Amino acid sequence: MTARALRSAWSQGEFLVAIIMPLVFALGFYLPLRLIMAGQGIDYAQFIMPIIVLQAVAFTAVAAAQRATLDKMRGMTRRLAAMPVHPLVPLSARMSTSAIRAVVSIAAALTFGTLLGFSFNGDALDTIMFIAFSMLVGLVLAIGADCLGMTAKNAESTSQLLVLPQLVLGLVSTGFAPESGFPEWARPFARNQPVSHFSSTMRELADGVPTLHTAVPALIWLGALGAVFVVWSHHIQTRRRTYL
Amino acid sequence: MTDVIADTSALSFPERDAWTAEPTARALWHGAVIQARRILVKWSRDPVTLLQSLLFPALMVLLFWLVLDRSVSAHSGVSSAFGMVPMVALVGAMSGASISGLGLRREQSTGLLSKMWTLPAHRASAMLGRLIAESVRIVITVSAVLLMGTAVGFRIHSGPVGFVAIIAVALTFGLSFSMMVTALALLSRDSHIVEWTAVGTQLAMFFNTGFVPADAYPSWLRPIVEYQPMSCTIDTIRALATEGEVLRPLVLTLLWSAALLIVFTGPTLAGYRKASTLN
Repeated sequence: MTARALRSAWSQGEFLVAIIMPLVFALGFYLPLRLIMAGQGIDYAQFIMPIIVLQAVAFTAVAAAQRATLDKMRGMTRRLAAMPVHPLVPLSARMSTSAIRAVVSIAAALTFGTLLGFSFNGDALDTIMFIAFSMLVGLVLAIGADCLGMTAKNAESTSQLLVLPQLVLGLVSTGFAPESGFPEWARPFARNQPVSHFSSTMRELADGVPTLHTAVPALIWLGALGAVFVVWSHHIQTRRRTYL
Repeated sequence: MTDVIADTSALSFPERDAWTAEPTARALWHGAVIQARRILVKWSRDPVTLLQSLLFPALMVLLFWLVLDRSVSAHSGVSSAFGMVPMVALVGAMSGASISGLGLRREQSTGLLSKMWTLPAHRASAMLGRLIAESVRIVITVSAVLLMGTAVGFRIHSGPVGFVAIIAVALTFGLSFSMMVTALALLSRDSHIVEWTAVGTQLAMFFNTGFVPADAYPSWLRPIVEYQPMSCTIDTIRALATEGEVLRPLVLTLLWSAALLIVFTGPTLAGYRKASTLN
């Protein structure tokens, strides 16, 4: 089933999108804002890379949601429910596809980042943890998006519903601009929301100076989101009427 | 029964000296208005279109202002709202055109265009109706963005005349871009062409004089950024709002719009005929 999903993703140009979207965001934010941020003493290639990677895995999650919705609309989910197939097989296949797409997307983002001047300044373990953390965020988001896809009416509304939080949480975070760049009233939200914690943790891992002070809130957010999405997913997978 | 039909002596038909067809212009306008109403009703009932046309652009104004206003304003010395609000207004108009292009492809695949072609209506009415609907959508989108812009410091110092002029400029550019998207949607064999156009629109959003001032870009990129159609239109809207020097950017905007219309009107009409007559 993973092979089927991968063939479908390949034929629909999903892997091309997985490569191009990080490029659009990397170039789109880096080239215009590099000089402006340099005036504030920020190496913008180093600063922006975590959020570019997070945006890349977020787009992977949107694709996962659309895949789930299309499977449901085409009757594939219903058909599999009537077959001697373990209920978790379709979900596992979709998650495997998302993971492979996330690998492609992260690799593309890091390649473009390196060309723009980003580098891993820590040891090999920090680099591995950076990539592993990115993948973990991608997996959690993909599970949540898959749940939304399974409950949505059509693929278009699914992607629109997901783009909204991605846009708000992505932009109003310390991923694209430092906290000091926000108006005072917006800073508490920008500082404490999950994307800011994720990008701060990844930034420290890239610089080779990870701290528990930064990592713990990020892991708490990730664990909480993961728990909610796994419970939701289990609820959906074990309810037969979802398939009807 | 057949005898009754065969015997026409009992039937009397009114005498007519000449057959008068409905005036072409009136038929065209009447059909176009019906088509425009159909498209607008469809859009108004589609949450995705409403999101793309109203909520997203308004939200983008707020988000970009939150993230970039302090940094950009500190760099340029003036409020970023006067560049950012026109930019988002244009992006809203352009992304709406992409949705319209997708809708057109759907109408082609479901056979609706072919059906319209065979009806006793002016054949250009469907195309004109779509343009009217596009115009209404662009006016609503741009107005919503300008309204949201007032919350982040955007002001039209030239009054109601300036507002009307801004709408007219955005409409001119929006319709010319829409013509390009329509041509690509109708003529391209690649089913993802409209989506790729939307990606191009997203990229253009970052490389214009509305996102950040031109001097913030690398020197090799500056000429491209300054003279791309979006930048010219943004500069025109900014000049109209602030009562600045408007002639140069306006001429460039009109040249870009005219170029797009000249290049894509023919292919759009040919594509519409082809899409409507294919079995």
